[in-house]
Parts: sequence; structure tokens; C-alpha cells
Amino acid sequence: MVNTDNFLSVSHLNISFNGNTVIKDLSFNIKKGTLTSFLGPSGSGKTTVLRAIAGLNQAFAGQIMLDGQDITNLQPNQRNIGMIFQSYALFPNLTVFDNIAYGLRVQKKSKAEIEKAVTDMLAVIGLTERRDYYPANLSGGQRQRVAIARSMVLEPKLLLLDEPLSALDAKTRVELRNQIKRYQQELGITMIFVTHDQTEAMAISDDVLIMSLGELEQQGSAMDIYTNPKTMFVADFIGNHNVLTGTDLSKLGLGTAQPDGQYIIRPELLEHVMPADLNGYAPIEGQVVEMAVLGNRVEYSLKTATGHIVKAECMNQNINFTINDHIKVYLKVTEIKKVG
Amino acid sequence: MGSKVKLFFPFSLVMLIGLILPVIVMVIAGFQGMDGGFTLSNYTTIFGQNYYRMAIFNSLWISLIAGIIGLVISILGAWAITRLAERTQNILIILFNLAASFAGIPLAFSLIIVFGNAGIAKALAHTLHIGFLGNFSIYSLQGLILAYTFFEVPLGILFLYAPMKEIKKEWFEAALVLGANRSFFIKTIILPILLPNIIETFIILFANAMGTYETMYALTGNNFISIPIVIGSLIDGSLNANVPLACALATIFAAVMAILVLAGNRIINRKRK
Amino acid sequence: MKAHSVDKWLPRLIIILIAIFLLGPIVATFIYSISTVWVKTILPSGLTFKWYGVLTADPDFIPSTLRSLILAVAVVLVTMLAFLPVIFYANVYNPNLKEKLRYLSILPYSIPGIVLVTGLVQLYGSIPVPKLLILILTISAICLPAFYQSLNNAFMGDDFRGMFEQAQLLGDSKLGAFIRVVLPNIRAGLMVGLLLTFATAFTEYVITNIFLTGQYETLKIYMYRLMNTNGNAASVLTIIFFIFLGIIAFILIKIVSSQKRSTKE
Repeated sequence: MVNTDNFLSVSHLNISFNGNTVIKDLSFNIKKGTLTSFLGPSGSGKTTVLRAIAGLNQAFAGQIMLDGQDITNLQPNQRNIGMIFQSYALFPNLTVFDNIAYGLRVQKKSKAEIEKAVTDMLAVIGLTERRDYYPANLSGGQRQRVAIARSMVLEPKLLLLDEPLSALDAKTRVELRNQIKRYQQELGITMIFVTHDQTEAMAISDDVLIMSLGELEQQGSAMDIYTNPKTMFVADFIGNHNVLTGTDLSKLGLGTAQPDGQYIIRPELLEHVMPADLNGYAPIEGQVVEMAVLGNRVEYSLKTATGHIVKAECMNQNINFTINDHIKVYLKVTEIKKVG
Repeated sequence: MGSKVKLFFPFSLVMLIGLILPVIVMVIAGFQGMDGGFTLSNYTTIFGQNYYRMAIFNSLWISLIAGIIGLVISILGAWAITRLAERTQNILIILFNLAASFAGIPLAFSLIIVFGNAGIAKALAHTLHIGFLGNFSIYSLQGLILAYTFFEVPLGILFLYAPMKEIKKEWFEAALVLGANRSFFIKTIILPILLPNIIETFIILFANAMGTYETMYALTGNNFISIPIVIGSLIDGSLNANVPLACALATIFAAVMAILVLAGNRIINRKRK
Repeated sequence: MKAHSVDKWLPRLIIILIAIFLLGPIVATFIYSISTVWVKTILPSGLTFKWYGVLTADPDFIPSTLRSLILAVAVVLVTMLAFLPVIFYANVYNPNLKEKLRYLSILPYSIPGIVLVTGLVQLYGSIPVPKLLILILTISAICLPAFYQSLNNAFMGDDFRGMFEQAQLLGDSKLGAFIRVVLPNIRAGLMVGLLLTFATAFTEYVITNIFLTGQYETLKIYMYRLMNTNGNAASVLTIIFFIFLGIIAFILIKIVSSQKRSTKE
């Protein structure tokens, strides 16, 4: 049974290296035509899972199905899965054209077919002029586009990208991540994108899969994960949330919640402008002990009378406070989210 | 798993047949008599008889002197190379490689042409009445030491060149700014940095001289008594051949050299940390 | 100002002295090879090229050169087929193995030819085995440290693991990926390693002479025999030998410098 919801289906994946279990009973599905991010700190096992899907690591227990086919025991060259390495792994002895043509030549396609497919691909990535350049003479961003083109020209069922932006400078990263999203949408290709950068993951993904220490923490849309983290790890990793216990909440006078468990308050929901209707809102008072200008926003750390530190992120408008100012912010109490 | 066997099988086969089995047999044979039975007599012979003790002593002595001379000249040489233009440096390094690989029979023969009994040096000494040159024999201990420097110097330079090149000009400038003079700078910065490499190079030069057979054999035949020559004469199939005894001597050699080189490595690694 | 000029002339002087010292005997050998007679005189009696004719006309010259060549080519082949895949694997997949292979570097110093040959004679001396084949394997093993070192350098820099895996993901087989992607990108280091291996095997003397009891007369063994019978012809051979080593050194210069240039681009 193939349906688009479990285009890729990984079940009960267990991987160990030298006796250490690095992936523990991991199961998840990926929808056809979507871009899914594997997000997690380094060492969380993202790349390990990616390599298992690609067939580069076959020493594992579990099953991997792609498009209704069991690919668990297939060799990497039989899977029709593309992968972009962190280093891009361009072949330095081949020109841009020959790099992109590599897979087609292995398939023994005719010269004319190869010429056409590669030329079309060069146009898509905008490197027609550079077809005879060697990788050493390209910029980081251009190299990445060649790496993507080299995989996509084979029309893989699935394209895996292993931290493809990590070697680039901040501005190029933003440009290229949007470009990746564009290719994905234009070509309707299913992609898995590994990253440790939550902003990056949220910006481009239809679906985010958060991993920690070889286990799946949460899978969902970016919005879902940001607003409703299911575990403390996700709450911690995904944003700059205020994390408070039930007791803390009561002390702060926000005590409508249950006294046990952990709660998060997103700092951008603490408003410093008094709402017209205070119904459902609670005030938090405190002294500014730290502030950081983030550009369009400013983050204040308030120390309350109860001794708690609460972070509030406000738009950088005309009302600005400074250190030691005594201020009051307002919170809609329904925005207090219990973790889990 | 099948592909791993395919990968390692040829490698292991070559190493086993070509190197590992012979070395194991060498060690075992050292404890066997000519009849194959177990005995320590090879070792008691080596340490008990003057002839073998002299071979060990001669080898140690010649290697020590050749190593020290080689080291001193190669320190100067390696330093001098780093002061020259980059292009010249590359050419010189290859030339020293060439000189090092010339060791053995060709080197010995060239030296005989110059310093041999019928050579130019003798003719020069005779005409110009230079006594010490006239008395100098390339077939003697001094002659062998001279011969060894012809490959010890290039080898030493090759080992010392890379670390010397690492020394940055700015360090000296920085030291000058801090008020140091040249000798203080060399004593406090350069020597401690280079010391591990100098020790390493000396050990290699020493070990290399210890194992040199070809040059010595080509110059003196079996006349000069040293470990390699004695081993050679014990296994060359002649009347007094005694392969187990040669194996015992070779085992001592291999063990001592392995310990020396490994100990050297360890000192160096500790120093570098 | 004074320190500066010392800095300039002292290194040159040292290098010139060392070069004269090292090259002196070779120059003398060359002059000897073109002398009619040069015995106990400061200058040779006359110049001639006849010894070059004498050597090349010697019926043993070409066969011994060929024997050395056969030995060297065989060793190069063994090295390529048996060692290259393992060195690739250690560099790309198994850093632990690489750590162990590091100990190879002490091999030439702790087990020089004269030591190793005792075991060879003891083990294979009296049994009917193809000794030439064993000699080839032994010399290959001896060449491993230098070969390994040259290739290690070649594997630094590029992400060979990524390239090898990428080629497979693009549909290539392991062997295809190795031939089409790995080999072309290590060719400079591989060439250096193979040249060093070739030179070592071509010039090996101790093991070949003692283990094969002089039965397989290579160029070096021939040279030794000639040295004791016809000094003039031997000097010609020494010069040819030097030129041969020089050509290998020259090719090495070319490879290394062209590689440096291409990485700068």
C-alpha cells in the first residue's frame, strides 16, 4: 500500500557503532513531495539516519521502505536516492559539466541525451556559463548548486541534504536555502534536509523532525513544534522560551495552571503595551537586568520581586527601556503552554 | 564482509610471506642449533666471543660517530637551505634525495676512484706531500665513517628541513622586539622547538648506519667486522655458514633498533605535547 | 647591516660546500669513465668514450638491466594491487587502522635488508619454492612504508569518502567509483609512491644477492662484479646509474611542483 503520507517509511531503526547504540528504535514517515528537516544538535544521530537511508551504512536493524519498495538491503547505487554531502564531494578532476553528467554516463545514456539533460540542468541552476570550469574555480555557493544539479539530473525519488549550508557565509546561507526550497517546489522532489540550525529548519521545511541522542523527540510542522513543544528538549532547542515550573507560575501570580510540570512562555508574547482589554491578561513586573538589541526586536531580561528572571522580546519601536528600569509586561494567560 | 576479505587478503598474503613469517622464523631460529633443537648457545656465543662483541662494538661506534657528524652537518645544511629562494629549496631537496639514494655500491665505487689506492687523492698527496691524505685509507674505520656521511648528511637534511622551515621569521622579530638577542633567541626558542626533531633525526641516522651493509661490503668485503658484515658472512652459503647464529644476531639487532626508534618516538611525542 | 650580509653568504657557502662534498666523487667517477687511463695521477692521461662502448657491448649489461626492470615492475604491480586498496580503506574509512599503519615507519630502521634476509634464508632457503616470487613480495613489503607515506599525503585535502560514496549514489559500482573518482584524484601522490617503489626495487642489492645467492644477476650485482673486474666499465655503469636516479628525481620534481601549482589555483 503506497500512499503519499508514507512515501518514505522508516521503522524500528537501531544502529550501533562499536557497541554504542547511536540510534534507538526510530520510526517515522515522510510525505511525498515535501521538504522535511532533521533537526538536532551535533551527535544526535541525524547524519547516521541519513546515511542509513542512502544505504551508505547497512549495519543496522530495522526496515526502510521507499515508494512501496523495501530498500533495506539494496546497495546505494540501486536505490535511486540522491545525496548532497556537507563537503559537496564534487569530483575535482572533472568539470562542472562532467560532474553533472557522471551519473548519466554510468547509466550509459547516449551522448545527445546527456548533453541535453546536463544543459537543461545547468540552466536551472544558472551556471550555463561555467560548464567547463573545475570545482576549484567555483565559489562555495556555486559548488553547492553543482552538487544539487549532479544529484537531481538523475531524478531521484528522494534527495538527502547533509548540512549543505554549513560551509557558507551567513548571507549566502539564506540565499541558498531559499533556492533549495524553490528547486524542491518547482521539481516536486521529496527532500530531507539535515541541519543543526533551527532557524534554517523552520524557514524552509514543511515538516520538522527533531532528534536528540538517537531518538525522535517530535515531528510536526515548524509552527506546531515552535508553539507546542512536546518535550523539554524541544522547548529548549527550538526557541528562546521562558521555562517555568507550576510553582513558579503560582509565585508569579499566573497560577491558573496545574502546579506540577514544566511550562513555557514565548518571550515575544510578553507585551509592554497595556492591552485595551485586560480580561484574560496577567501583568509581570520587574527590573530590567539585561538587554540585547536584536535589530528589529529588543530582548529584555526582567528580574521580578520573586527573584525569577523572565525574558521578554519586544518590537524595537519608539518606547525603549534601559537597564534598571522598572517595567510591567502583559501576558495572555492562555498562551502559557504546558510541555508534553 | 566478503568485500573486506577481498580487500585484506592480498595485503596480508604479501606481508605474511614477504615479511612477517621470515621475521618470526628469524626469531625462532635464533634459539635453535644447527640441528634444529632448542638452545641458547647462539646468544652465549654472541655475547661470549670477542669476535661478535667486537662486531657489536664496531657497529655501535661507527654508527655513533657517523650519526653525530651527519647530524651536525645536516643541521647546518637544513638551516642553510631554508635561507635560500623557494625554487632553489625545492631543487636542492630533490638533489639530496638523489644523493641519499646513491648509497651502496655506486657510492663505494666512486669513493674508491677518489680515495682508493690508485685514486686521485693518493696522487695529490704524493705530489703535494700531504701526509695525512697519503695515509688515509677509505677501507679503514675512518674511511667508512667518511663514506657513511655521504648518505647520512642528505638523509639528515631531508628529515630536518621540514621542521626548520616551520620556524617563522616573525618569531625572531617578535623576540627582538621583546629585547632578546640572537643567541638568547636560539637558546630559548629555536632549540626547544627543534630538539625533538633533532633527537628523532639522530636516532634515524644512527639506526640507518647500523643497518648499512651494501656500502660497507662494497668497500671492505668481509674484512671489517660489524654486525651486518658478520650476518652476511654467516648466511652467504660459504663453509663457515651458520644461519641460526645469524638469526640470533639479526634478532638482537631488530629488537634493539625497534626499542630505540619507539623510545625515540615516545620522547618526541611527549616533548611535543 | 653586517648581520644581514652574513645571512646572505653563509647559507650559500654551506650549501656549496656540502654540494661539492657530495658531488665530488660522482664528478670524479664521470671523469674516470671518459679517461683512457687514470691511475695514481692527478689528471687522467687522455679522454675517450670507448668505455661506454665496452660496457654496452658487454653481453651481461642488457640482461642484468632487464632483470632489474622485471623485478621493479613486478614490485610496482604487487604494490598497486595489494597495498593501494588497503591504504585507501584505512585513509577513508578506518582511522584506527591508519593509526596502526603509522608504525610501519620504523620498519626500514629496525628490520633493514641484512636483518630480514636471515629469516628469508632460514625459512625458504632449503625448500622448493619460487624464490624470485618471494623476493618480489619481500621487496614489496619493504617498499610499503614509503608508498604508504606518499599516498597519505595524497588523501589529505579532498573528501575522498564523500566522493567515493557520492559516485555510488550516482549509480556507480564500488570498483567503478574507485577507478573513475578516487584514482584520478590521487594520481600525483600515487605516481610519487610508485616511482619511489620502482627505484627501491630497481636498486635493491642485499636481499636479492644473498637470498638468491647471486643467481639472479640484477644491475647492482652486475655492477659489483664489474667493479672488481673492469673498473672503467664499472665507472660508466655508475654514471648511467646516477643518470637513471637523476631522471627519477627529475620526474618527482615535476610532479610535486605541478601539484603545488594546481593547488594554488
